[in-house]
Amino acid sequence: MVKSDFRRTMIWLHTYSSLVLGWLCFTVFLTGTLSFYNTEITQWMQPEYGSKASAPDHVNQALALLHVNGQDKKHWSIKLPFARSNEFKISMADRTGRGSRRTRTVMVLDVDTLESITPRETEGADFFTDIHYTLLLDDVGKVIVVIVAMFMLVALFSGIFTHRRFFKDFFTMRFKRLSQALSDVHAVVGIITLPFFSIICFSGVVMNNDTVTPWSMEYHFDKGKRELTSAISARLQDPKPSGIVAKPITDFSVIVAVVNEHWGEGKIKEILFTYPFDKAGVISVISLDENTLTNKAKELVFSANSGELLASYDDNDNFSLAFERVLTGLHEAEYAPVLMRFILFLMGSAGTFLIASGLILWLTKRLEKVKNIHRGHALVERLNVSVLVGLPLAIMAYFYANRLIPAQTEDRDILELVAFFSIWLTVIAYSNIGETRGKYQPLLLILAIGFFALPIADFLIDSRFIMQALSHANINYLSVNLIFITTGILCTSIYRYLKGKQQC
Amino acid sequence: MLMMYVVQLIGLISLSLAMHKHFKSFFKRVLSVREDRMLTVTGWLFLALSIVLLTELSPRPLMIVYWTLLLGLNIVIVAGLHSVRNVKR
Repeated sequence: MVKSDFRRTMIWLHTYSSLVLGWLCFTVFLTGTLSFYNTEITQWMQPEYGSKASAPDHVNQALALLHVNGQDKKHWSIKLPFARSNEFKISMADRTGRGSRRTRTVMVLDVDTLESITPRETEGADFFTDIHYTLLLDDVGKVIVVIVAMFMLVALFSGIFTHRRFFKDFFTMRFKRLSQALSDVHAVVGIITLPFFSIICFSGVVMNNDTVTPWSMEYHFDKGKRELTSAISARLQDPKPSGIVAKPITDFSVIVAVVNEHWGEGKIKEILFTYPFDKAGVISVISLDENTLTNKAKELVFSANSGELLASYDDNDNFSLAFERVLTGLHEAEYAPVLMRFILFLMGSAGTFLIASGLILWLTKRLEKVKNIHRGHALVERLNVSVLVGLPLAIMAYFYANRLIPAQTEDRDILELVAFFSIWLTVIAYSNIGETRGKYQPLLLILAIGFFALPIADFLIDSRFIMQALSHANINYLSVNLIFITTGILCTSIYRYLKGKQQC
Repeated sequence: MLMMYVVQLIGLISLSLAMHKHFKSFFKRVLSVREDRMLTVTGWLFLALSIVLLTELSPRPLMIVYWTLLLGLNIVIVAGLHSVRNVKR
């Protein structure tokens, strides 16, 4: 029942908007937080990419390989390694545009020797990103995630009125009682993550507008969003083949020099050749998403045969598209340098903690007032254990599976997912059997030991990768291991705190 | 950027000390009206100065993101400082 008084209404709104979708919110935000380090985690999960520095002339060497392996193909691409990843790929396809994927042959190269390598099959951190924005349910999942984001926005702003004492006291936290400590930490985290969450939730809603409200786009355009974007986006027309045969360039240095003049050194992310064996063929050089909030990468276009810079296009998109691209850029944070990415990761972690603490707080406050646990309380408790500890345990199992399943096993990516869901289902079963109380502590202990042991397992199973990362100072690889240790420390602290309080 | 961060932190500390409870906790005496006004003005001025410093840095859009994120971190630091003092007392 909604109360008449404004603040009490806000408290009611905050409590129940958070509770109804709290567990989904936690899942979306935890996986989203991990997605800030998508590239680094994937690199850790595919250690075959190695830690050595790139060969100095890798573009020309990759081009030489394309000349040998990609004769008469209509599309070539070179994906270059960069600061966050050693992934170095070339691909060739019989078709151009969106249909090229089906006919594509991919060669993964060692950045040092340029020999072809076969990294282990894994979904990597893309799996977390998929859960984050679709809950693995495609368009239905996207709609649910948008609803979750809207609920989160309501919970955030109603939370300002709910925790107004905190603004009065200018952020004093009390640690004597568990519920008091949780309430204060919940409020301070809510305040510091307010701008972050507002942007993340709002941009998440805007990014998925085409899935949630597609009707207007579908009414005006046959192909919906794709056609609308193409109509209002500033881009070059796709090249048409002239039918005159010509040889593609063999030395990319001239193009690199021009690109360096425009963007500075080391800014190339990808090189795409369209119709390399045609007189009208073009080379698109795509930049890294740096120093800009928009997710639209810069592009320079050259002739595929002469290497001459071709006329560019007006970079200014339609305002609404540019606005959406800035919001998407802010959400995905591809632009973020090392320090900013780390702070964003901290904010995401704090936000995930905010949701978890809110869910625990709801129950703790109610249990303080009753003698016997109500059926609803038991349900919330079981759901809390299943999701708040179950999901991190499943994620941990996913990392262990990545190391324990032999690299050449067939369908090993599926086996990793089996490990993830098996552990999660086991925790759900455990939380639903017997007493509701006292389930956090053993699970937190497993989490703490498990995360501490992950870098050790990484070393014991195949020491080559971590040793190579140490000798070549591969910060990306080592920082993932460091995050595991930090998570272990955090879980130990929570475990010891709960043990001291003898609650939960 | 370090300068921007420090200036922002000073602004927040100053604003927090403009509150009777925290001033008393730090200086063991009551906050006067004059000190209240001075600390409040100083706090807001330093926050404004940190934004001015931000405009000097490039690329500006990224710096705005930094400023917002660092504000969150500084609030945690200020909250932590006050809370630790309260726990000790």
